[in-house]
Amino acid sequence: MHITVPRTSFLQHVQRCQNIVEKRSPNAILSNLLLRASNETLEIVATDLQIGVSSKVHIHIQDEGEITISAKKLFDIVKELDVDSDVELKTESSFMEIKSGRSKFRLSTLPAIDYPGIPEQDTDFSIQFEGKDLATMIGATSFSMSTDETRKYLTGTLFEISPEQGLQLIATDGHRMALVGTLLDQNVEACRAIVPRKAVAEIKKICEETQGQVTLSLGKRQVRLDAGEHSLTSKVIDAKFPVYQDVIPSDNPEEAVVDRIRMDQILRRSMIVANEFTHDVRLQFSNNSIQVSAHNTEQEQAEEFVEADYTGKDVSIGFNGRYLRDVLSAVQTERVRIQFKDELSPVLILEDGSDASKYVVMPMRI
Amino acid sequence: MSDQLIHILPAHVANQIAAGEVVERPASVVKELLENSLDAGAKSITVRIAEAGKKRIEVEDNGYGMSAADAELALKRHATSKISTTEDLHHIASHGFRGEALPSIASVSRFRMQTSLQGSHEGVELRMDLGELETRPAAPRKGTRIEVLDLFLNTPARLNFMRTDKTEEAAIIEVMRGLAICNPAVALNLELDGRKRLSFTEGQNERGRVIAVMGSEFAGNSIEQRIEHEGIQISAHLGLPTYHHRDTSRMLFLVNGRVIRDKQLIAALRAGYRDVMFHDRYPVAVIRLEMDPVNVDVNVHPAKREVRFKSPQAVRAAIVACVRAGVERMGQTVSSMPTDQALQAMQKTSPAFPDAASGSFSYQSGSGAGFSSGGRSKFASGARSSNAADLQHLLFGAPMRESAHEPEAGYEIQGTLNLGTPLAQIHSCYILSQSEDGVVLIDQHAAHERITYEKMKSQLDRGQLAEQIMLTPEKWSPGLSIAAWLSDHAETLKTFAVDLDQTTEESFSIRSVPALLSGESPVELVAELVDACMLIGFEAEGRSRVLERWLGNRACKGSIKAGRMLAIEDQDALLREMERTPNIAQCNHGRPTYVRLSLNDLDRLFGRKE
Repeated sequence: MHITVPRTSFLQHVQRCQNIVEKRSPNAILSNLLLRASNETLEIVATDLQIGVSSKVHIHIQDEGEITISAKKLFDIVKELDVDSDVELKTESSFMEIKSGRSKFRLSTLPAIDYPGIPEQDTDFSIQFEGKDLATMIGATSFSMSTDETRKYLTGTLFEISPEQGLQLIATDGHRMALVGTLLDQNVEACRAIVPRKAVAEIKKICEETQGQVTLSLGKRQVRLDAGEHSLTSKVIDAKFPVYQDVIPSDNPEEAVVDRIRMDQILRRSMIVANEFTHDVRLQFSNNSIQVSAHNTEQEQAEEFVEADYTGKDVSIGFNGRYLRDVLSAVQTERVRIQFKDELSPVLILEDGSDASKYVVMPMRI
Repeated sequence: MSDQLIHILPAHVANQIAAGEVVERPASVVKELLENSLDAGAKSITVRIAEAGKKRIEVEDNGYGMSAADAELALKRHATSKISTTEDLHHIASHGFRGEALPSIASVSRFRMQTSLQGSHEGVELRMDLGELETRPAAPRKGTRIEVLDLFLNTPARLNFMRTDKTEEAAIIEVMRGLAICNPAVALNLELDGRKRLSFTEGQNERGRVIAVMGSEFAGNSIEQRIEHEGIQISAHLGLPTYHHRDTSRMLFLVNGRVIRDKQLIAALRAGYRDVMFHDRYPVAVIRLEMDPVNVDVNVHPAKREVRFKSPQAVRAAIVACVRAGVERMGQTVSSMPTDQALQAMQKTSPAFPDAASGSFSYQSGSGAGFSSGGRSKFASGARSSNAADLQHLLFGAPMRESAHEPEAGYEIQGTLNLGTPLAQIHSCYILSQSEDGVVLIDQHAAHERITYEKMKSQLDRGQLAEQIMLTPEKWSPGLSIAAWLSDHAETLKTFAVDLDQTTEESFSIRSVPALLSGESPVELVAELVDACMLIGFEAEGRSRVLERWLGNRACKGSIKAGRMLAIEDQDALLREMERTPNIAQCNHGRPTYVRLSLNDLDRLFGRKE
């Protein structure tokens, strides 16, 4: 293999791929990137056996070929090279020579034939979607995923497509749930997949960097994203996701509407003196106001009122303040609606004027 | 031969079989004979051993003795003065009762006994050689003298299984020590091949005898703790958490005056120390339990080394509570052991004073004693705590909800610790401090780890457990036996902020978990909790066990690491914080947090003083 690539685009592609490489893989070749040069295209591939990423860049090829090379070293070197020079890569027996300007490196390689590669596409249905919008939807839900590996099905985000609801993303850790949805203007079939946490994060990054549309494909065993030069394939979590529809309260009688930013600021201040592990705060809803209070075991306290549109009965509910703040920063509107029944039932938080996003937070008994 | 195959064994064969259980080795003979002497009210007993007991075991006491007729009967199987009905079997207060010991011993040895009943004018001498009994009158004497000659002469297999003389002698010494602690007022002497090996004087009090048995070093590195819990009286002599041992051999348990070696008791003792001792080290302690004989079954093992408790949970809880109370009192005291080690290490490198190592020893145990006894006088007043609330608090367990908002709950620091003024940090790892009477070396990571841990514990202690309600209840199928336990104890879990709903015969849904642990797997958390509760049966203890484990990990992560530079102000702050922290003498893993070297130590080190 012998190629020459512009340093800037090369760095960007290497970076994209090396993100998912496991830093300390017991299998040495998985720490490597696969470089494949053919048909005037360089393809860079990385995989951790769960997720595979491939990045294609159009270049000039002197000699076609394929080889694998340490992702970390390649990335660290290319990062340091002169911004404006081209990078020349050339295999020399079992080594790869990297030249740029006056710099020259020699890195060891492993043969491409041993590289596991990326599985064939195996999905049932695809939609086209604005990349930036998908990134926003992921950002508004991913914080609710669980990190508890014993409940695998909670460690991912459910991507669900249906003719009625369009695309919905749902994440829950068993204490709270986030759901965002967008209607689609294309004809769709119903399909769903639980996408693992790491893949969710990578999909978000790729979408953020992509101008225009991306293609999202869901299958029983695989989820795939095609975004311009990049594509990502991930295994899905093969488990049953909780029936989220049952969890969303539909008959909460009380509703308070409050300024989102102010509420968030108050929570942030109050939590300074909340218990540092449980972050428990108390919201006292009464006529046209919400009182936020927190205290810790050192008897330190915080108390603050915020005006709210509320005319219901007096209710006092304990929360993990973090859960509330997560929701408030995911929501986009100026004001939020907080709907509840009593101090122990699920609380529903909605954007002002739209029911497309739904956040359910379970109270805390404190 | 008749066609009848089954027949009753002759008495001497039956006795030999019984001997297999009771008389395992010379030490068991010594134990049986000593217990007989003690049951006979002896105030002084002398044991003489020749060739590790294989040649001769002699036990001489000054007890009530026996009449000639009784003496003869005593050599018959199941002959005993100690019980007479099965009813008595449930109220055993004496050592022996099975009536097996003497005939068993006599059946595997050449047996000699001289005795006379107290106040009688005649004595008797019995000789039994392989089942042949010979009785002859003898001069009256005070008490009984028994000689067991050529033990196992007719059971060569047993003889072949004897261990080395040293091992057998050690076993005899162990037996004597145990009985010595059980009977502090009785004089006990042991001679091995004519040399005096043990000598415990008559009329000692309990503490005195414990120290005589455990060694004088134990005196300065232990405290006495008494407690009563659910009708169980415990008086314990507890070694400092930093005064530990490599195995369980330095633990002694007495149950109603009997030395017992029981896994549950060992586990309970370790559980009490768990918070403050390194996991592969073992406490040094003497624990005496007294309870109604109805609540303990001693008729489990012929040698009576094992017992069965009616309520093992209560016994465990009592021991744990007792140790916790003791640890709380001595939490700030480091044993003299690290200082000894430090000095010995330094002395090894100073060839000029080859004798110093041996000399240093006596002094250091003195310094340890001085330090801990300084604290002890202050402890004495608050030593006894028996009411349930205290107990709960002692078990660290965050208090139950009722007492949740008492601000003063938590360990109290007793005794004053002065760690002096920091001088310097050594290798970004240790702090050197000058105290009134010398220097103190402090391990900054270990110290900070303990401080963090105690802080988190007190947070727990003071706040009630906030309960995070589940959005999607978690299914849990624990199996039938746990399910059965749970249906009786559902309320117990409520106090741990765990809310369970039984959905079917053997499955539950978890509706809430402690908010503190809400990031953990609910099923694992609840399973662990139930496990702890079932095992220990004491609510606060179960909870603390689950929470402590988790807190311990958190504390270690959040602590100052070795290798971090600390400004002198930070060092000072750390020392002052240590002085305010309970249990500061050791980190969560039981390593000491500081070591003292007094001026006296330093003087010795440099040969200024002898």
